[in-house]
Amino acid sequence: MFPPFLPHDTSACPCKSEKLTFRTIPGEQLQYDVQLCNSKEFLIDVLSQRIGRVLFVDEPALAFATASQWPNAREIIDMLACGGAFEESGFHLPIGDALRAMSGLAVGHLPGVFALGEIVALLWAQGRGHEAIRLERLWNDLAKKYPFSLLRRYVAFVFSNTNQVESFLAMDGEQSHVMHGKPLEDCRGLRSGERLRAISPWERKAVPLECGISGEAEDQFRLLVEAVEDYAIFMLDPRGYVRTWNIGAQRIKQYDASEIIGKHFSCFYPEEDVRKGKPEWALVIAEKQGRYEDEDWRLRKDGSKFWANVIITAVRNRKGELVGFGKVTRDVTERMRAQRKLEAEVAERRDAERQLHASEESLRQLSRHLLRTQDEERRQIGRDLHDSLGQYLAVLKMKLDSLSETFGPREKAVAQDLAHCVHLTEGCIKEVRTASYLLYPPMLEELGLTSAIPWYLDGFSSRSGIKTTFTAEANFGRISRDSELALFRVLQEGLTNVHRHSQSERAYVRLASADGFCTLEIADEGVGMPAQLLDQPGEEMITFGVGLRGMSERMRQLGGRLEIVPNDTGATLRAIVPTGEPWPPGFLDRAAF
Amino acid sequence: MPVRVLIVDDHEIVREGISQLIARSRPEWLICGQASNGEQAIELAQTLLPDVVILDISMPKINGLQVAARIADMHLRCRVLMFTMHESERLARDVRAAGAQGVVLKSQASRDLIRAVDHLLAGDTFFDSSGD
Repeated sequence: MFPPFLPHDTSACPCKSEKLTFRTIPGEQLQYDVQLCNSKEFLIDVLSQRIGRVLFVDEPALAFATASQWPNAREIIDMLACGGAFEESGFHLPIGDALRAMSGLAVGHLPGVFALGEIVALLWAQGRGHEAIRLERLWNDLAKKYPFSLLRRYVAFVFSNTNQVESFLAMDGEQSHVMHGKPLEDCRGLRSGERLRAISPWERKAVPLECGISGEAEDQFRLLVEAVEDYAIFMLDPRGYVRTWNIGAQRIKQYDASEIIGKHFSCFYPEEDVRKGKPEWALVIAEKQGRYEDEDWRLRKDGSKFWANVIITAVRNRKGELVGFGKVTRDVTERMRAQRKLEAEVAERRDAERQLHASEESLRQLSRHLLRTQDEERRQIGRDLHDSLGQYLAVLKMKLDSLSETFGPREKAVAQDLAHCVHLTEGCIKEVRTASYLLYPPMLEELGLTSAIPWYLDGFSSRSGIKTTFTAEANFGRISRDSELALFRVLQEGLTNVHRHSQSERAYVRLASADGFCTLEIADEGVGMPAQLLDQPGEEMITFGVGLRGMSERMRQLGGRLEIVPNDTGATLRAIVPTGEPWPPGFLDRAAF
Repeated sequence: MPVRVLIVDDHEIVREGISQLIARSRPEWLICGQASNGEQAIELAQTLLPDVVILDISMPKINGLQVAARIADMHLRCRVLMFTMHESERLARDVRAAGAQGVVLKSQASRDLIRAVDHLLAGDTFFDSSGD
């Protein structure tokens, strides 16, 4: 990984350092940070100052370079490659961290990154062409991820003879922090032509830059800028006419240098922007504030639009006079599209979540409705059985009894038949009563839980063989009809559960009320119940129609809850519901319980 | 003076069954009135002043226990016998609490009803079919 980022550490002496260091170089009008490596710092210093002065006034910069010394170069390469092939994670993470740290230093400015390109050249020379390409791509990808200005591919080896270096250094004068490094001697054996051929894409014809750089240095700088493919980097004169052009500009905007130089840069703007005077306004802002940044649609030569990140920087000479504008344009259409796609996906997902919530809610409503309908229907059927069939059977038995009394003493055969009929009728009455009470005990409505529960427990015990004990608070009166019915259903479900699953031989039912809530507890001495039974639907648990989960839902509807808690000997099912208005209203007063 | 009986049940067939049972076993008794709901029962109890009210528990609106409680509140001299399909130990307690003096299961009417009314007329209660 990269060494820690040490902003503004001026104490580090680059010429002595064999590792990457970081330092700040205060210039006359500019301050930027340069990350240097081993022994070619001087070169980087000079070039970084130049580049920074022309295009990135007052902006921090991150620069990488390697010397031609093979061991050190490998070290740098290995460092960037993170010990393996050039991978996105190993490369982007540390550099990304450095960029973020620099963004923090330069509020409102993009950090500049200068990758001075021997790394790629060396890889190429080592026959690691695919890795060189991979590294180039990583730089491109990095530029898409982080907001920074990237200049790269500097051909360091054009300085491979001392004369060139001396004249280049002379231009920089006293401002430079030039250190004469040893590696220069080592470079002598290599011809720049060989290096340039190895990295031939950089051999481009340059358009002269009128920015105060002259001579050989101008050529090198021009080479550097015009070779950049991913950015349109060009100069405007103070009125906005295009003065220089690079490969990136040609690629992004489709104009050849010969077509566009001398034209006004407003031709890159959509018509409505031109009408509003946006191009002129951009120059005014850049001149006044030193810099103008924009993200918007721009036009290519064929009229198609692309989403552009544009930075216009005022360029001044040493006297402070405006000599033109540097313009750096990136095509970030894909990034923008990816962003919008992401936004659309997020919106879609939110939409799906909303729909899910809605369908969950409607399922819940449906379940409430089903519970209510089921209750109502059971009540109706139970009532019908009890009220009509039950009554008829009762009267039928009365009549049969009467017939037995009348005819029995006289005719033995008739008496036997009648006795049989009475027996059958009694059986019918019992069946009807059991069925109707299971469906909806009329006793519950008329006498409340304290009567209905013991009655139900009697029946349950005789059917299941499980002994039951019921305790209710002495003063437990009537509660709301809904709560009574809900608790009764919980009792039915709970006991069925005890019978089917707990293997308990006893069940304890307790009824109590306090503070506007009443509690029904069904405790067993069985194998226990997992609490998630209340939340998970499972056929196993669906016993009396809707199961414990349905009961839990019903409790929630009433503003109560259903819990399963382990007790000393088994499990306790506890239902808690608000007492509510007693039903029927006023009954308690008159009945004088 | 014949014994005056008021029969209250929301099913006509049940009222008729009781009437016939009484007519056969105690022809000297007078069915002074019949009511098919609680409100009517309270009204007739007040106006007819029966000796005994045979009162069904399960009725719409005002049930038998409520009617019994109202009659008890009015301090009439009549005795109230609940007549029901329900079968529960606790029922006796509820019936007592409502102010009635006895309870008979409909399925045991032939065996118990007349006996129960006799008990009540004698000033006793009837809460256990074995004879109280």
